[in-house]
Amino acid sequence: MLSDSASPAELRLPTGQQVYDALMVDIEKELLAGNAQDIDAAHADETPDQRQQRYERYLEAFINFDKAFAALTAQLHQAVETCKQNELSRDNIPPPAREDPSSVEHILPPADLSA
Amino acid sequence: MTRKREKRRLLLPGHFTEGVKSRAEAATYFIDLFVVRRLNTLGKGTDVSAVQEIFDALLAKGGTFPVAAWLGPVATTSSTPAASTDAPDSPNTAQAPSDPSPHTQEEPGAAAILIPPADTREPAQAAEELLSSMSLADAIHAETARIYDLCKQRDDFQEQLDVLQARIHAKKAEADAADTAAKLQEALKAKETDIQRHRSIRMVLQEKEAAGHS
Repeated sequence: MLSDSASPAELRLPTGQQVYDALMVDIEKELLAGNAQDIDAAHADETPDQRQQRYERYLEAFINFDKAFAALTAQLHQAVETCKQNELSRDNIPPPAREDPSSVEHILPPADLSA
Repeated sequence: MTRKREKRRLLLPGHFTEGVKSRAEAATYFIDLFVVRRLNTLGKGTDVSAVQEIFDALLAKGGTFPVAAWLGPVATTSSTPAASTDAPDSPNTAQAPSDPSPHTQEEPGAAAILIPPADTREPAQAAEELLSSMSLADAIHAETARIYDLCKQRDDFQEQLDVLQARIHAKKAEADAADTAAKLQEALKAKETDIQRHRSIRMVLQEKEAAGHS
């Protein structure tokens, strides 16, 4: 854990694959990054139906992963936002003025592609 | 069986390999652009303990990150592997990622900003590739989701730039702030291009949908 005075340069960063595996390990172990290349090798004897069921399971796993990743990114966004507020107020810098603070397209957020 | 389910039957093993790869890349991209860059924009004195706690919890041995809580009841539907990942033919990575040896970012300057190479596929080609693995309705939905995400990412870039320029104006910025600002401008432009491209792809898909209903 970093001390309170830690700088961004001292962040102990995970790699993208580590983040992927850390989330996927609780969802579908067969889809961990190290397994992906030989994902069918361990199922050489399965029937077409079993294979189909497995693929359906993988699809659900990806949907669940995407939800978990979205939650992680939201949490990180919030943490960074807190850093920003603290840092700007410490330096007495007013929050940046934005002409259009919500320029994200006004479309319905597609929260769940599995629906 | 729904049309979507039928379409899903067309999925091939390569889709899953690509799915793993693209998600790992997305995580890399997010960490670099949306965490490290934003923190560096604020300055080296920024307290990042809250961010570090999230990464530490995510990678803690034994898993203490609330993935199951995020997912709710659906998490249990795929939490038990049907076949052992300890099988001889399968690389054994089925345990929690322990000792991830997280690296320290040594040079957090402008050069660290990742700008992915531009996708040069024609919108029609990209649309066809989407339709090879999902229904038309799903493809439109997926592109809409992509555009929405890209817009949010673009706004994040803009926010980083705003903060950095405020710091430069207040003479509170780091020495390499101008380089970082230039790189952020470049990344912002690339994101805009990407948004336009995905809008074109969605337009192709919507034209197909309209043709199908006429």
